[in-house]
Amino acid sequence: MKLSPQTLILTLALALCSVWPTPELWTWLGAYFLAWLILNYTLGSGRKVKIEVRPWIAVALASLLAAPALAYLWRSADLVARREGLRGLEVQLEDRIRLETTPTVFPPVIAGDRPQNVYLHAPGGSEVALRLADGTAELAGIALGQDLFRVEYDPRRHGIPSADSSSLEAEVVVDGSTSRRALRYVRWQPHPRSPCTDPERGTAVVPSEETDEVFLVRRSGERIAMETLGVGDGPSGCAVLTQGRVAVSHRYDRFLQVMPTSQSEAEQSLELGPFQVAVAASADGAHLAVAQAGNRPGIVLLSTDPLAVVERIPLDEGLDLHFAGGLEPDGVHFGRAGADQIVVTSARHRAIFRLDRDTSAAGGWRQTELYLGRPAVTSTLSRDRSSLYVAVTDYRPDGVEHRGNHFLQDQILRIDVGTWQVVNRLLTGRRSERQDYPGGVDRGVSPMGMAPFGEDGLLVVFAGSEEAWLLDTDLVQPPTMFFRDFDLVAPFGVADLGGGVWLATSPAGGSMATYDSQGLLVEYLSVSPTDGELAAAPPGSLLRQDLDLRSGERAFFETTRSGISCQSCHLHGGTDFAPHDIGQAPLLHTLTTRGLAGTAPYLRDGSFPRIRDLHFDLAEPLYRGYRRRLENRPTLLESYVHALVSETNPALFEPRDLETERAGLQAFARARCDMCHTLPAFTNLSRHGSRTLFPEHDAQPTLFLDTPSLLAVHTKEDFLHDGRAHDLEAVLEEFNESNRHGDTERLDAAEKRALLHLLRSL
Amino acid sequence: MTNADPSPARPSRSQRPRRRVAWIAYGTATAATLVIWAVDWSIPWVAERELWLSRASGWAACTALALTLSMTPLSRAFVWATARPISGAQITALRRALGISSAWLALLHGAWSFVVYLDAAWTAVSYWPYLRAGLAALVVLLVLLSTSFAGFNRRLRIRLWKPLHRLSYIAGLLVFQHLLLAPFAPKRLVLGLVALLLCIELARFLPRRSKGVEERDREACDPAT
Repeated sequence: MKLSPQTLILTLALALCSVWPTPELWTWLGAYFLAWLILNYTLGSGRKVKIEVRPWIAVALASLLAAPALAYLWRSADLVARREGLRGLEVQLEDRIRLETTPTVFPPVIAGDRPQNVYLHAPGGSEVALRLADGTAELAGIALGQDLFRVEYDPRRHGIPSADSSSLEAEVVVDGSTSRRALRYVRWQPHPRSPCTDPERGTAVVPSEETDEVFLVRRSGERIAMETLGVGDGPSGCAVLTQGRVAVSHRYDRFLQVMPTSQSEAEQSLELGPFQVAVAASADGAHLAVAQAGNRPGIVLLSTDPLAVVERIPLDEGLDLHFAGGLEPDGVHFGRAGADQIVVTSARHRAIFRLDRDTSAAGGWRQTELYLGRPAVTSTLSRDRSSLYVAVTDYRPDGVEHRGNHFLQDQILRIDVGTWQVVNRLLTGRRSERQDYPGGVDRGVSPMGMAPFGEDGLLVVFAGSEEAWLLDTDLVQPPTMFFRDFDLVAPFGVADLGGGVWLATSPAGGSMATYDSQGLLVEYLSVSPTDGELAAAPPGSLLRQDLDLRSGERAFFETTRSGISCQSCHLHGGTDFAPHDIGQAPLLHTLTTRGLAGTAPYLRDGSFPRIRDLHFDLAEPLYRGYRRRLENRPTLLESYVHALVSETNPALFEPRDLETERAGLQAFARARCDMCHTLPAFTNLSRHGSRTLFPEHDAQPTLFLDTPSLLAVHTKEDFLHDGRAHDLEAVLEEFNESNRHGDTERLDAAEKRALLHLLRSL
Repeated sequence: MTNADPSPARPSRSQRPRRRVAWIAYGTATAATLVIWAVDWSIPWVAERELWLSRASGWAACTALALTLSMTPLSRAFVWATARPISGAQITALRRALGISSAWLALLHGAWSFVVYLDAAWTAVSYWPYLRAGLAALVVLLVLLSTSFAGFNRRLRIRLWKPLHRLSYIAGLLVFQHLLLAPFAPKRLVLGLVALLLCIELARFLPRRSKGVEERDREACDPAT
């Protein structure tokens, strides 16, 4: 048998590879070259190379040399793929190719629970329309210029897809010719979240924002009854009035609804505008306070009889805040002084505020800020409204962040409403005999719901460790923990139903349960199909997707052994707006987990090609994994995160200034922003050298940045990869000194204004 | 680049057609470079100008390499489909010229990108996989370029020439990786071109059409002729 020089070179190269310590393509190439050099200058010295051996010897020799190398290569394939940037490449290519296939539709996920913008890029098209599926109306595209069109989809107005499938074959009609594009459709199951309650009447009301309904739970002695009531779009909060009526605020509906809990009374509604994020009732039931976010944040003070606006307290002006801009509220309570004192929480500002009516001649409202350093995850007042309890993931009143790597410390603060001081703190995260790993934190992780219970109790439910605690109102006594395996997954809300019975809710599980004061189950209330029913649905159906989303949502809330869950920083699936030390020199604000579908790779430097890789590279090695075993956890988590669509832009509910938007898009193209922030996703899903873009700022040549999408940029707290720009103007002006982050020097003042208007409207 | 080509000082009559196709290839590559430069000067924004030259020179190098790799299968497919003999020597000369052009264009692309776009940041090149792959491809092409001249090969005592020049396929793979990970390369186009190239490469497995044609082809490819 003759061995050709090529065979000899390959065999020798493989043998050389196997002794090299680091597997990389470079080393393979080097090994081949070295083998060639050896053979060229030894065997090929003037004669034609011919090696003749017996076949079995040849096979044995080649196997002996090549087998260890092949085994080595096989074992190190994943490592090589990671080093060579090939891991998860298929996902990145899929997302890139989706964006390069015109006409392009972005985002690739359509949610059935909220209004949203969809962008279409149709080069050369003049009239564009989108047909999502049977059951929905044809949506005409609004031309913005540069071949970009915007479609505004509102499931309540335009209908929802009638087919029972999680994938849509949407039709994009460009000047009469139709193209099909695959999109994902997400329909959420009921998500009962934070209840409002009237313990004396034994009534609790639980809104489900995703399904536009509220669940009315009544206790009558030992019996528990539940009914479902339909409400407006996106019920965000509720308050039970003393007359037995319930006020429901809406995120995407302009009306505040006041509903009777009995048939004898008529329903009332009052137009307040969208983005009502929370509502509270005064102790005497005579007043309501509605916290309103959006472009004109404020508190609307209402009388309940008759239902009318008394006063609107604007929060976007005249306040001395830690941060520039207005105060965006996300929670509201009445203080001890009834309608003259209002407590407002703001996750974006990581602070709580007390507004007191100024009784002097000047009038108006005085505000007192209490800076926490981390957002209020949840808050509740004591029965007598003298104490405010706030759950936070850390407490930094001086504004200096903890520099501990990935530092989180779940705790409950008791704040005296009168002195507006923190009077006590209870650190909740702790170890127990359940721990299966040294140092495993398995109790008191992610307090999500709190409510006063009885005369001197405080109920807390923990979504991360799936348990409930009963505390004393001073937070001094050791907690009574309900140690049995909790019946609800990722419990979120809790309320006193009176008579020693309390209610807990589980949005992830689509269920609620009532318990007695010993923590024993009284009644389990399921408001969505069970896991078994969902699992029986055919693959690809909406019900089957619901099962994945349910598992993924639970995994999102579930604590790792280190006491950290995804939810800890990505508050309510978004962000906690807080800076963290995540092993890098500058403190970095948490990125949102919304609107990530179709935007691989992830994180600021694009270091994670897939969401699931965060599980392999972060949750398992760094956070020490999970106690509960869950098959396909990484992919379920990824499925859930991809189903979270971007926050709805308030601009969707206001008259559009199309001319300015078009001028802004023209300026966007003139400054060549579209080279990297490519239409319609406003990102080309690529990484670029930071030093190339900001040579005056970044000296580190290995820092490459993932191009962030500009969609929903209005929700961001700070800009650029290290958060050094606090607004978009600074991005265009102050932090583009060398004019390499877009040719913004070409733009005049009017063009820049138009560009900023466009960006805020996305 | 994929075959030895002795280069005597004066071309014989039989060598003239080979020289002609080679000069056509070199001329096209030079013209492409000039066009790229001319377009570059018309771009007003400096960052875009830098990027354009980098990208365009890269695509030019990539195109030349793809043509180099597809020369042999294309000629075989032509012979198989038409049963007409084709000058193997001219094919070889064209392939060599394209290979040399691709190496020079790759050098232009690499040098420009390194000095201007990457601000001569060597750590970036060694750190990022797509830059590493690009550099590896460039190194391979330069090795092949330097061993594409018969006189130089004799001085270097290169005997196993063909196994060395089979690295051109490795260079192709590295360029593919470079393009897959490069930020501005359109992925649909890249995948489409690679699919096309693979289809073309399949023509290597086509049966030879006739003994006469095969012999003429082999004779033409022999460096000794």
